[in-house]
Amino acid sequence: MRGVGEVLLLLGAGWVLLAAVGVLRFDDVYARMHAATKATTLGLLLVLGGAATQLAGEDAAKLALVGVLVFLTAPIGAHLIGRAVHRAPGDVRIRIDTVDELRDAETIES
Amino acid sequence: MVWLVVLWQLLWRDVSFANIVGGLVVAAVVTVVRPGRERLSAGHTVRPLRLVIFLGYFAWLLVVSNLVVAREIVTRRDYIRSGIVAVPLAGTAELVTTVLADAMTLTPGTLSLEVRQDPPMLYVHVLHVRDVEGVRRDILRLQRLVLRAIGPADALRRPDHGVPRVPSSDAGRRTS
Amino acid sequence: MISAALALLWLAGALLLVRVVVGPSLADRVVALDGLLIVVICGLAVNAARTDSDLFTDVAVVIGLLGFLGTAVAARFIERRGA
Repeated sequence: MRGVGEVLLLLGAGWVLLAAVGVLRFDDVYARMHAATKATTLGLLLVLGGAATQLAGEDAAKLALVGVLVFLTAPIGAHLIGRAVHRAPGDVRIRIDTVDELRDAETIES
Repeated sequence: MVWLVVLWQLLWRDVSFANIVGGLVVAAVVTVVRPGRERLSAGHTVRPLRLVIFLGYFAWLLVVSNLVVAREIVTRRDYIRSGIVAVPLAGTAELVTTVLADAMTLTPGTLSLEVRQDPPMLYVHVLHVRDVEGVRRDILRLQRLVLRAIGPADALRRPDHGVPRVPSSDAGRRTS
Repeated sequence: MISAALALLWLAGALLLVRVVVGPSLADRVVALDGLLIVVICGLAVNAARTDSDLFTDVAVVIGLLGFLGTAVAARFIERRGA
């Protein structure tokens, strides 16, 4: 059990590192959110799982709580920021290569 | 909000006055910061089996979407072509839309951006768009799953749960 | 293995910190900070596994809660002020 736990920890940490690379590499704010939300969530779940294998019941339950919390709230956070960025772009870097049906709808409205 | 306070008590394993006050403060802040999401339970029924199916699909999507993101992270940026896709919603049931917007962020390559009411639409940012209609279909399928799991009973009586069908034509816009 | 995991987390934290500093917009910084919080929670979990103190897990729960709150408030702020 210890071995599996340590592998999970390493895998999770590696995945979070992958997420960080993505946040740094992408050149547009929405893409960075994709990396920051999805990859960090999975990395975190792996790390929490790995750590939980080494811990007693109560601590493992707390880690499970953290996992559920982040799992449920991180996507909402990303949605809120994405929406805020769209409504008030300021000097943000946005890059849309193909369709932009939101702008189409907005130009029809105005 | 009540259960937030209860949760707070559990965390500190000690039901004292100071804790109840602290819990109320935290719960109040959380409730205020999430605008317009109260009144979640009007008319919604939870169907356990469907919920389990939905959660299982959810977990599977989490893994797949991460694999997709991983590939996008290592791909040369020039090959990745982003876009924003409009997805029609089935009515404006708050809880269903919230859950869908939440789950949708975990579907491969998508991030929910804006929700409009009139007509009810969800706007989705897609990191790498290969097939616009395909994206719409995937998200509508997800919405159907959410509706079957926790949607209001009258929505289920409508043909196809009131979820608009996207015509699956081969002449759909392919972008790469 | 655990030290390797911690090393990876340190590296992830450093990369995210670069994004926080470089920006260029407020939204970019908020996104990177959110990621940093996740890195911190991971670090706490790894340390909890390594030692036997249950302090780490409690802190992890608090950070998990507060992290989302901070992001939500930041989003409201961005909507008013611009990214």
